[in-house]
Order: sequence, then C-alpha cells, then structure tokens
Amino acid sequence: MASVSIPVAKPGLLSEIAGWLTTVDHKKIGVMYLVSTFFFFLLSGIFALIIRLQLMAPGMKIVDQNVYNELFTMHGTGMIFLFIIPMLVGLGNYIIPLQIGARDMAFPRINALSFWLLIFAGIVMEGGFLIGGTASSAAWTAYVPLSTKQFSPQSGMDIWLFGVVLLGISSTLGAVNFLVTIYTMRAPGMTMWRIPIFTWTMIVTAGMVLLATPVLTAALIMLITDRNFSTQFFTTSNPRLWQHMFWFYSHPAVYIMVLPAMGILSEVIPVFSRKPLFGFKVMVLSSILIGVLGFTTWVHHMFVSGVDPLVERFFMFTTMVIAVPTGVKMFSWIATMWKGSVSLKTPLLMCIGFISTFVIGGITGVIQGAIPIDMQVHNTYWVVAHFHYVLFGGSVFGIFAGLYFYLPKITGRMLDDKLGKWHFALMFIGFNLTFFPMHILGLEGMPRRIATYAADRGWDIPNLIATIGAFTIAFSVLIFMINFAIYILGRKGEVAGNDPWEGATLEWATTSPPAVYNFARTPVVESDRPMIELRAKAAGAKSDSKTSGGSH
Amino acid sequence: MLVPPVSQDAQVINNLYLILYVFSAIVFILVEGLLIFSVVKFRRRAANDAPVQVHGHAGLETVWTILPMVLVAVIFLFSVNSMGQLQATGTFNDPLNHVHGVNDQVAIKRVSEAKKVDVVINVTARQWVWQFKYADGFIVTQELVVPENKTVRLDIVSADVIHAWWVPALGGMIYVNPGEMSHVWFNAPAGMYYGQCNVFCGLAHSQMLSNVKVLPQADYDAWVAQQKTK
Ligand code: HEM
Ligand SMILES: [Cu+2]
Ligand SMILES: [Cu+2]
Repeated sequence: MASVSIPVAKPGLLSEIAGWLTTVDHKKIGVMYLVSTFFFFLLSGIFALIIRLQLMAPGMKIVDQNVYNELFTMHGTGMIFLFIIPMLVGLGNYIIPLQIGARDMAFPRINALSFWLLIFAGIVMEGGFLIGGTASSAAWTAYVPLSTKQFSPQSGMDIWLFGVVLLGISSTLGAVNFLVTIYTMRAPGMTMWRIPIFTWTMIVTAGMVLLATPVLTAALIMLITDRNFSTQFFTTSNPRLWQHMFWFYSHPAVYIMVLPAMGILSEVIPVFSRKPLFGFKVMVLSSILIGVLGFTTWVHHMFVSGVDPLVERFFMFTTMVIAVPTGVKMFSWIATMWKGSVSLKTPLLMCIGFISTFVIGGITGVIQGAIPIDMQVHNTYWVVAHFHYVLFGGSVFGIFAGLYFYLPKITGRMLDDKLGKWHFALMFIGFNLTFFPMHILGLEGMPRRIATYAADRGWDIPNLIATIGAFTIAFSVLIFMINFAIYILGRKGEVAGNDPWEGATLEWATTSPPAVYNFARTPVVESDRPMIELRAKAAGAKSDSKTSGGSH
Repeated sequence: MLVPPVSQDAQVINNLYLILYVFSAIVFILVEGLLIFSVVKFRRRAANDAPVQVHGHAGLETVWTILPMVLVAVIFLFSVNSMGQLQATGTFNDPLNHVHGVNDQVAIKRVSEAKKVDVVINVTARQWVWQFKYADGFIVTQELVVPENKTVRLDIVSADVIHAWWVPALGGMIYVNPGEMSHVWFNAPAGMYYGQCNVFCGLAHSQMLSNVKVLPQADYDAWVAQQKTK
C-alpha cells in the first residue's frame, strides 16, 4: 500500500466526541451506559421528589392530578427500564470481559447497537412530556383497558409502548451478547466453576431476559395494534390476558434487577473480608434456582383480580418458596464475613445496606404472598414500601457498592472514602425514613397511585416523614456526585493502581483504566481466585532472591 | 392491622397477619443480629490480618436451606388455614371465587344461594365514581349507607376500566373488571368506614371514594324513606 502519511494531530474535542459516539469498545460503551443511566436515575428521582412534595400533606396542589399520574408512571418506568436494568448491563459490559480475561464482547457492534437503542428509547419515552401534550399516565403496569385508545387517547401512550418495545430489543441483544461472550471468550483455564460469581449472575440474568422479554414485547405490540389498527387482542377478551403477559415478564424482571446486584455483593464482600465467598457452588445454584422459580410466581400480582382459587394456591406456594434460595444467599454473605477481616470501606457499607434492607423486602414479600394478607395490602402503600425495599434497598445499594468498587478500575482514581461514608449513612437513613412509614400507610388503608388524600384519613405524619426521607436521599446522592466531581473528574483522588482492593478476579490484573486491548497477554487461570496466585507469584518473585522459602 | 377490623373476614385476615408478624420478627432479628455481630466482631483490626480461608461448610449450608423451607411450609399452612376460615364463615364459597361473567346465570344463582343475605345492592364502578342502586330504585354515589348488623351483599360491575372495591375495616378487596360481576359480603356494626377505589383507573382515581356508613335500623329506614321522596 502506498504510504499515505496521516497527519497525527493532537485529538481535538470534536474527534474525541466522535470517538465516543462511534466506539465499539466494551469499556467505552460501558462508561456511556453508566453515565446515561445515571442521568435517568436523576430524572426519575426528580419525579419522585415532586411526587413526595405533592403527598407531603393532605390536599396539596403542587401539580394537578393529570401531571401527577404522568410523574409516577414515568418515575416507575424510568427507574426500572432506563436506570436499574441498563445500569447493571453497563456494569456488566465494562467488567465482564475483564473478569473473564477477554478483549471485548463477542459482538462489539451489536453491543453498540444495544446501547444506542436504549438512548433512543429513553428519549422517545420521556419525549412524551414534550410531544403530544402528555406522557403515558397509565402507570408502569399499563393495565388494559385503561391503556387502550378509548381511555388513554394521548399519543404519549403510543410512544411509551414503542419505547418499551425498543428497550426489549436492546436488552435481548445485550443478553445474547453476554451469553456468547461468556461461553466462548473465557481465558484459558477458566472452567465452569472458576467463572467469577458476578459473571455467573449475569449468565442467569441474560437467560431470564431471553425467556421473559418476548412475552412482554408481544403484549406491547398487540396493544399498539389494538390502539392504532383496531385489532381486538385485548378489547374483547379476558381482562386478565394483559395482566398475565405483563407479569410473566415483569415478575422475572424483579430478579433481572436484583440478581446482578447480588452478584456484585458476592464479589465485594469476600474482597473486603479477605475470605473466599462462602459456599461458591451453592451461591451459583441458588442464583439459577431463583432464575427458574422467578418464572413460576407471576400470578401473585393477580390474587384479587379473579383467578381460579386452586391456581392461586399454587402461586402462593411458589411465591413463598423463592424465599429459600434468597435466604441461602443472605446467610452465605454473613458467613463470608464471619471470622474474616472485615474492612468497613464504602463498598462494603453499601453491601451491608443491601443485606439489612433486603431482609425486610424479602419478609414483606413472603407475607403478602399469603393470599388473605394480599387481599388487604394489594395496591396499597404497603406494596410501594415492599418493592422499594427490594429495588432500592436491594438493587440501588448493590449498584452503589459496584460503583464504589469499580470506579477506581474504570477511571484510575479513588473516590474519597469519607464522603462515601456520608453518602452511605445519609442514604441509609433517608431510605428507611422514606419507605418504612409507607408500610404503616398501607396498613392504614392508603392506596398507591393517588394524587392526593383528604385530611380526615389520618395519613399525614407518615407521609411527612417519607417526604423528609426522600430529600435526605436526594442530598446523599448529591454528595456522591460531588465526590465524583472532585476526586475523579477533578483528578484529586489517589491513583488507584491496578489492584486497590486486593481483588480476587482478573479485572484487577490489568491497569486502571485498562488499555484498549484489556490485557497485554491473555491471562491463564489456575483457580477460582486467579489474583491470589498472581499476587503470590509476584510476591514470590520478589522474595525468591532473598529467601528460599517455597510456596505452600 | 392498623385499621381496626370490624367484619369477620377482616378479623381472620388480621389474625393471620399477627401470626406472620411474629415469624417475621424472629427472622428479622436473627439476620440483622448476625449481620451486625459479624461486622462489629470481625472488623479489620490490623492491616495485615490474614483470616483462615474457609470455603464453605456443607452441614451449615444444608441447615440454612432446610430451615427456611420448614418456615415457609409453616407459613403456607397457616395461610391455607386462614383461607379455610374465610370459607367457613360462610361469607362465600371460596374467598376468591366470586368474580364471574356479568351474564353467567349459573354463577349468579350459586352466589345467591351461597348465603342468606338481608340486603343486596347493585354497585356500578365508573370513572370516577361508585354508584349504589338500592332495591327501592334510588341511586346514591360516593357513600354507601346500610343497616347495622345485617348481612349485605354487593353485586359490583364496571362501566369502563378496572376498579377495585376495598373498605379496609370490612376486609378483603376485589377487582371489578369490565364484563364481569364481583361480589362482596359484609356484616358490620354501626359506624363510618372509609374506602376508595384501589386500582389505578385514570385521571381522578384518587377521588373515587367508597365510604360505607352503617346506621342503626331505625335511622336507616328513615334515610331510605327520605331518599325515596327525593
Ligand atoms: C429517590 C428515591 C425514591 C423515592 C422517593 C420514590 C418514591 C416513590 C413513590 C412515592 C411512589 C408511589 C407513587 C404513587 O403510587 O403514587 C413510587 C412508585 C414507584 N417507584 Fe419509586 N421512589 C424512589 C426510587 C425508586 C427506585 C430506585 C425504583 C427502582 C426500580 C423505583 C421504582 C418505582 C416503581 C416501579 C413505582 C411504581 C410506579 C407505578 O405505580 O406505576 N423507585 N416511588
Ligand atoms: Cu412479582
Ligand atoms: Cu380507581
């Protein structure tokens, strides 16, 4: 080839941006996932704050009820579809190829496509606020017939449905990519039982996505055609058809949101206890079991919508049984810390936040699985409390554990641990202030999704406390952002080095941030904690010249 | 339950709740106790702490798999037992089997034979109001008025989307699906019981009240007479 000399200018801002927009590198895509989903977290969080302002006292009129309905719909949708699920995908995107010693995902371009579909879908869904007057206001569950053209004529409803279809495509592509990557691209020596636990949970999660998403996508498309082309899938048939299809996806979705977070805990707790994960195989098996049982419980969302009683008893049983593998995980984490050397750094504190709040979410889950109880708490604030204990107390604390743990790897700088502890403490207090009183509100008869309530119901005080708690959470997240701005963006943080935490898995063997090709030489794996050997070898190489002490 | 139960059904549910509450407290204290203990007791004291590398313990793992199983089984049995009690009160054949097609004559016959009732009221849920049609032909909204200590049956239909009937003090809730009929039975002492629609049904869902006012018989009769002349 003719030697055309390409002028090597210092990359300007524009080409830098173009580089990000066109990248197929799993790390850059991962970073873009993290940044954009964090933005959706903030947006959905602001919606939540407005909701809490409106409910702070009886009869408030911060927003009118039409806007209120849009806000809680878009809060729930945004938190689930645009924050938690893709945030965990983003972490997986960055970490998993590193963890298994690969150079990238199996299909880098499809990886980029998944990401851009997510962004497009996010803009489309939130765009409902701008075009067509109103966003979807039929709740994140979009029950038929409320969500049909007759009762929700606004085009915001159509684009909401369309956006969720796009998200389904995005996460299906992502799931295939994860499975193929993990199946085919592991470093030599990484046998089944040496796959790191976070990667294991992503395998199970990806499997669940592949099984569950098509059902939701089908339901969404049926509803779109019902609304726009007068097909009659839902209008004339069983009112429960939508509910079955929706929950067949959306109950497993709870585990899609929580399993990877559990995987993060299973990575962080051993590292910060200086012990291996207690019962590794049992942890893997319990994840798989959760993945399977997760598909058998969806009717517990329909106990009072008129389903055959015998069927309901079956689903009551499966709902309760799923607590068993979850309990196993809780005990195994505690056993990992038992007689360990527990370092109370921010990532571990976030894990403690997860365990201590998730217990409550788990318990309330079993309780409301009992049909007679469900007949009294279904659709009340008790349920709002329950699922925030699972999704916030679980997933969000897990996500922050992951961020504090992995941001040094991703950026090369350490976050400040003191600010991190403030973040944790305020978020933990704020979280419980916000959501614990909601149990009481539910028992006192407050339904969810109401834009206001009368003063004579006696719901004032728990609501006021919840609002104070919500702003405490917001403040704690602000601290996180300040921490990030100063110590990472402002480069004030300590340099992380390859392995700031004494990690056990391969991502800690490479530089922080890793080079484009991840590993200069593909590592060879000899155990389930390859870094322990690599560290021992490095230490051995150093001390070999001085002593002749053999390894044990 | 914090809303004091007044009907038999609400009482049964309340009892189950209290039992499960005790189990929950035990699990809660156990897990949080172990968690706090291990974090405090085993926190890192020296930079070079090197704990023994335990990988697992088959016995322990079996124990904490079996124990939750037993607990779950017990909770399940208690729940099934409560469902049996709900049935035994004779309120209805089965706690949840009282939703059927609007024109399902067989089901309507079975429901009307299931239990002797003193008052039947036809209820229509529509965006965003509950309408109560009495045997005497008049209709009231938002607030249902019934006589004290009489068994009341509500035959509820929806005119548009899904709504749910729920008055916490009177017990379990039930969806009201378009095209179907749902039934609720209760028998309550005099008093004012709050309720409102419990499935999100659109714009003014939060205003769709279903309060129940239970009056002594004489007051009730006077109220009915007054409604008829309106
Ligand atoms: C800043 C923290 C948060 C606050 C203060 C908050 C508050 C609330 C409140 C008050 C509601 C009930 C609205 C109503 O029923 O009228 C709600 C609903 C909901 N929240 Fe959150 N939330 C927070 C974080 C989250 C997170 C992290 C998730 C993660 C998935 C989440 C998911 C949901 C969902 C799915 C709904 C149901 C929406 C619906 O009913 O359609 N929230 N939230
Ligand atoms: Cu569920
Ligand atoms: Cu309603």
